[in-house]
Amino acid sequence: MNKLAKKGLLLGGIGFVVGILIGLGVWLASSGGHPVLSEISPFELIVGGIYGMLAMGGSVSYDVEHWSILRCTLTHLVPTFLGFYVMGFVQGWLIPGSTLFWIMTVCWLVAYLFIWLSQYLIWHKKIKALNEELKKMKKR
Amino acid sequence: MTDNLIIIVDDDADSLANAKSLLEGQYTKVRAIRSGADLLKLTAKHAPDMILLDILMPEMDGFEAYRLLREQEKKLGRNPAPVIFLTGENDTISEQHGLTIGASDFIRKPFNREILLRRIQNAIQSAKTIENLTEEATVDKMTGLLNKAGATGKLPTLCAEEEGTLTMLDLDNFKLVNDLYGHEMGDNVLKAFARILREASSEGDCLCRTGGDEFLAFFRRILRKKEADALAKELNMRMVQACRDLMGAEFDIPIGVSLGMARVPECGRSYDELTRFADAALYQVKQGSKHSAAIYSPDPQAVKEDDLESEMSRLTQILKERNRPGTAMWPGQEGITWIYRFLCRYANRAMKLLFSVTVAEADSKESFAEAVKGFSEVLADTLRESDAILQSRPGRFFVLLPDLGEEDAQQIVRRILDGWAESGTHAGVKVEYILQPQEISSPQAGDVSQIAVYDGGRIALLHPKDFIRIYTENRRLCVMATSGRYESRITLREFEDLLDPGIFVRISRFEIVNLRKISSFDLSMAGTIRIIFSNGEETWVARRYVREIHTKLDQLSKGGEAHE
Repeated sequence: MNKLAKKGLLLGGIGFVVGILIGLGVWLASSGGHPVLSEISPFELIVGGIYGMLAMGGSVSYDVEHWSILRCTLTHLVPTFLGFYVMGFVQGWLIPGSTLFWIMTVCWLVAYLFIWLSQYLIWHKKIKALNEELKKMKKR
Repeated sequence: MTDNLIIIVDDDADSLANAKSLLEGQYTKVRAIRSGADLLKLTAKHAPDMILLDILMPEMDGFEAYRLLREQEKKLGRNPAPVIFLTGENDTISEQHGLTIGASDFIRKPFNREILLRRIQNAIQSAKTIENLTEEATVDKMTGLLNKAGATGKLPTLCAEEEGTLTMLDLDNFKLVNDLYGHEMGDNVLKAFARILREASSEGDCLCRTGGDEFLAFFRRILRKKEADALAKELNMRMVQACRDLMGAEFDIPIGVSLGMARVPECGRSYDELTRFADAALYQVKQGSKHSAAIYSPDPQAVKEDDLESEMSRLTQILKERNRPGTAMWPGQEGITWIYRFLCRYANRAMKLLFSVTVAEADSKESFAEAVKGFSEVLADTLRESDAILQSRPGRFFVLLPDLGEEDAQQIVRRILDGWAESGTHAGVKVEYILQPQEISSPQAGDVSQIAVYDGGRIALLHPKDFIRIYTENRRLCVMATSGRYESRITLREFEDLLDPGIFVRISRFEIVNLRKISSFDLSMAGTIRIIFSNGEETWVARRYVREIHTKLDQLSKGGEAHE
């Protein structure tokens, strides 16, 4: 198994645990200080874990050396975006075509556009610095 | 009662019923129909053994139905069914016409049962006799395909009327089967090929064996090069498998099939011309890589044209070793000569070994021949697959041991001698040997002067005959320079240090570049970091090396440690 796959699995595992912990956190926060064990839904916890696994596991796309930032971002977007919707449909709180559905879609796309743009600007700055160093080197 | 299919065609219901009742006691399958059109519908699905055909019928008379029936039979590739015309008239002109156009007999109504049955029986028997004689004259008994006479009878018609390819097929290296395995095995191979050919053909194709290992076929569905290549590939693949089944694991003959094709009607409709064209295409294949197909084209260049992939696949098929026995090679005098010369040019090291087996007749219980045979078996069992053996003369064995030093070769000699000792008591048999390193004439390590170019994982050296390759070993990226005896294995890190750590920088897992050759860095819209070299070439940079590049550039711009 190559390094990327191993890292993907490791991050996926961590994401799963984090997803469950967030689920537990939400349960605690919504209990108003009086948590009741019977109100925990194992199904929702597992769904949250799977989503965490997809989001964190998918982040290995940024480690593929020869991929562009755009490709990495889109590759990460696909599992998280689709995963989120599938989870929402399965749990029944996201209905296709509903207002929430469209709001979430727009939010997702804007968020990822922002991720790509910020990455692009960061790298743009670094490349500019590289070119300046290169010029300095050539002047010597 | 016989199970021949008899069809009676008559528009008169009474006459039809009468004929049917007369025949039903004698024949189990009697079909009575009312018109010529119905007859043609029925014969399209079933081949009758006899047709009783009334002449006077409305819409389509008996003669017209007969003509259409013969056309249908020709189209379907069937033998003509015997036809007896029926009529109620005393009409000698019709009778004469009927017999002239090929009817078996002529019967007038009303029928006499005995005469009717006798005439039907005679007509069926005559037809069967003709069929048998025709088959004997036109069918190749061994393969069951048409013979040359059959081909000459049938193929011209197909070429004149149908669309497809006239194909000449020839078995490659078939002679070796006869020479090495005998003619009986040769016949079995031919039978197997005929079976494969039959299975690979479609309905309406015509297959003939025109002589020895030569075949001629008309394929209706093979019209394009792609289909021809697919057919050649299938035939070759199945042929090798069939030979393996027939000759067993030791089968090692590069047998195959070459096909020369002429398209019909593009290349014409004349059988003789088409045969010549197919022969020319076959010649083209035979002169080339064999085991493949070529379609004739008036433009000679077009016949030669072939895509690289299929050419490579055919060459691989021919060159590859079949049924590798797992023992050392016995390539013969010529083969070992080429191996020897190749090792001289390429190998880093190799040893040569010469054994002598002699027998002192007075002291020995085994003959010289037995001793030599026994020793050759020990050699074959002991040596590696990569070693090569030649029996230079009786009792002398020359062995090439590639990629071995003297110490390792001595071990192999000891193993051979131990194996020989263990194979029995060989009193009076003397085994001697001489072991020497093989002369290596490839460039020496000193020839490699400096690394000149780096480009996408390949490193070229200034020395024109040398090269370096990068590979991974034990999960380490390594660089190996191969130049005759010179061979070095270092890690990429060591290699980079050798180059000059200040000038070169890693830009990806497999790439290092000279910073002084970089013209600029660039970021594409998609976010790929690129390096543009002074000579205009471009390559991409892994993001994780950008910091390292920056540091090195910084060092160089400050005139620090880096030096060229």
